[in-house]
Amino acid sequence: MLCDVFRRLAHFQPVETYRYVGFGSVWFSDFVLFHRALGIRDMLSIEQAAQSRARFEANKPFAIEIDFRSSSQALPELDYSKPQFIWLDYDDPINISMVNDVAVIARRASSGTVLVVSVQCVRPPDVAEAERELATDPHAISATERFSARMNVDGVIRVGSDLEREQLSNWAFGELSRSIFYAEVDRILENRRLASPGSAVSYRRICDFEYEDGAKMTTLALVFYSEEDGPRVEACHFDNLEFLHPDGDPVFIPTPKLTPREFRQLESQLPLPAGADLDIGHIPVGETRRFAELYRYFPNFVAAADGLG
Amino acid sequence: MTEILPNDQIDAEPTKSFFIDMLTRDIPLDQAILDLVDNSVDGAKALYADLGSPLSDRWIRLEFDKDKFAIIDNCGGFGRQAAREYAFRFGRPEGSARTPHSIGQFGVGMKRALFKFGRHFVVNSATANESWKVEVPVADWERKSAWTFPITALPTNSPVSESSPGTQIIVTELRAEVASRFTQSNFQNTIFDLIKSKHRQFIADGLTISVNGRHVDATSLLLLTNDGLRPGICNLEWNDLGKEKITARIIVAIAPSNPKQAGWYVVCNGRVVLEADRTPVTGWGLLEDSKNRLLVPSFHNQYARFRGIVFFDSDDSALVPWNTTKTSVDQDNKYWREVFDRMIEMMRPAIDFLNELDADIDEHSRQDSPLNQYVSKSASVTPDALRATAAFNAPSRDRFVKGPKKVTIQYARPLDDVMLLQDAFGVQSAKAVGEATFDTALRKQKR
Repeated sequence: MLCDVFRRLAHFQPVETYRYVGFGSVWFSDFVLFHRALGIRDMLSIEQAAQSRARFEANKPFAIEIDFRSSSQALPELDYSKPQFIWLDYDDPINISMVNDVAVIARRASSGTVLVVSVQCVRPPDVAEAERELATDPHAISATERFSARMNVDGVIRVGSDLEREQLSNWAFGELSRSIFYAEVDRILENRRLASPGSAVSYRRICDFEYEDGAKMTTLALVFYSEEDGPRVEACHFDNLEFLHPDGDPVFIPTPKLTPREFRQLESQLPLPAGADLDIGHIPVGETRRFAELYRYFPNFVAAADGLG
Repeated sequence: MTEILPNDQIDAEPTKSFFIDMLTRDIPLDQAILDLVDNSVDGAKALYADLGSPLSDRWIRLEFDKDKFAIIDNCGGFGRQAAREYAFRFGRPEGSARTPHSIGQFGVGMKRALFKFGRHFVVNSATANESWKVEVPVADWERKSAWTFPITALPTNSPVSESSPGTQIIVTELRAEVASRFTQSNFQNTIFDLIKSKHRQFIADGLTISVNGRHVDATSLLLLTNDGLRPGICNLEWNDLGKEKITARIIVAIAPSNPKQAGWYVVCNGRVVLEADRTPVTGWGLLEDSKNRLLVPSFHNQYARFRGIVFFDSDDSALVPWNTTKTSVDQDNKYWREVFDRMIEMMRPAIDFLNELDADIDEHSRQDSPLNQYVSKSASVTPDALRATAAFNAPSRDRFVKGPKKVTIQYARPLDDVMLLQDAFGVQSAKAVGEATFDTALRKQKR
């Protein structure tokens, strides 16, 4: 899906001339995808696990540059004069250093830069901490207070005191996490606009995603643009990406539990002719939900299983 | 038109734009909003004082976005005379009446806020007997030499009227930096949280306040009591000749452990001025001048259970020790000086107890400390319930029967080895590995 998003940025400049910045891990799967599908050549992976440098170097599939520092050290030093795709693909629930990473980028991003942020959204560690302490002290600090205290630092109230416990679980937590990131971008861009209106940028939300990749995850994607590039953003027509909800709700990517044979059976009917229904045979309806719209975007492991089958 | 002055005179009359700039410069945007809420609260308090109408019948609604700021209340409004004599005058005229027990600064707060927000404002107000409107396009007003505002009749479609008295203020043509902050959810959260903490007492008494549709609910400070654990309470009163009475109630207590809520709270006429203060202003880290030793330690998380609250009350709001922006205390105020000395005196036994508690936790761990268990099991009370003068009381560690003296062991080992033993012993933490290996070794040695 991100490939489809990125492809539309050709209205800013040819996609293959963008720089891709990601957290490659040892798999570099995003790098492989964007290199193959979009032809991006200039790539940087930020990887803090410096003790096994050799392993990362040995696993990188192409001439990918690796910065073995923390994101908070590496991100301020990126070359923001050229447009970049930056994907902050965190494995953990939102924390303040992630919010600060997003702020670093928003403070510097030039028009045409795309920022994608992924976080886990099962629940923050505050919930377990509070439960553990409440077991012995009925007046222990609640999970919501703990979470607010971690987020509301540097004089910025990122989480209001009307935060509810339910907002710290599952998709509601994903929604809260996204809203904190968006509010941070808002805040930084407004400060930028007031201080130097000439080089100010705005942002356009492209899409929010929710999916289960072992754990519940959420991703947001946005593009920064200057006033003068406004027409280019319009030309990208992000709003008619086929997987988007018309009402702007996050796109939920289901993980269908299908055998390779069932997967092939469904896929062979697609794309569907207008008005036709998918013949699902003996497959439970729940597993085929949104299959016709989203089959191109199912996680790689589904396709891999298919390949092995 | 500028008058021609004689040669020995210099025209020093300020321009209006300079005046507005000076008036609005030093007030932070969030405090300017709180000033307007304070005025509404004063209206609500006056309705209670004059007619016994409870705060639970009163509401204040704030709405702001990139285009406008609006506040509307049903708190009684103010009459034409008040508008002419105080509300729109710059500075309070000598001898003018004051609202008893007020929290607002009628002479400054409203205009300062209006000019701070934008370049066009409308104030509509109605009491049960009369109503009026003032509309000021600021650019036009600046061009005119007269320091007057036109007061006109309330339009018929106004949401406030003599049958539903209250005040409505709308500011448009917002200043760019103001509009920018109004749109940010962080700023909306800031206002929400400030109202929640600064107007805590009025909300708890039933006043309804909403910010952009979000209802601000009441929270109360919870203090702990138990047999043997009792808050210290001190009541002071001054009746200076020719002045209104002023009272202070000081409470020092142990509370649920919470580093963000710990510290001193100062409440003037119901309005919270300082909250969870852990700075030298309320005595933390205070040196004893003559000996250069600490009288009160600086705040540390072991004092996360400390709460101190001071309530000042006086019908004359000029006597209570707040600074002009109500963001702190006026440290030169003589009543504050006297209360401050009492605060230091009262916090020392509480600090001593928390040091004992910390030592007990060090020895037994947080979970197993008998003293911490005792405190955690205490019942909670609100400061409202604590009125009569009483000395702070807390149990000593000796009161709790303890087992043999214990000591904490701390050491580091390679993570992989610890994980191996964690697995082998079937335990969940590094701490449990340490305890299990110790117990195993002890069994072999001890007969």
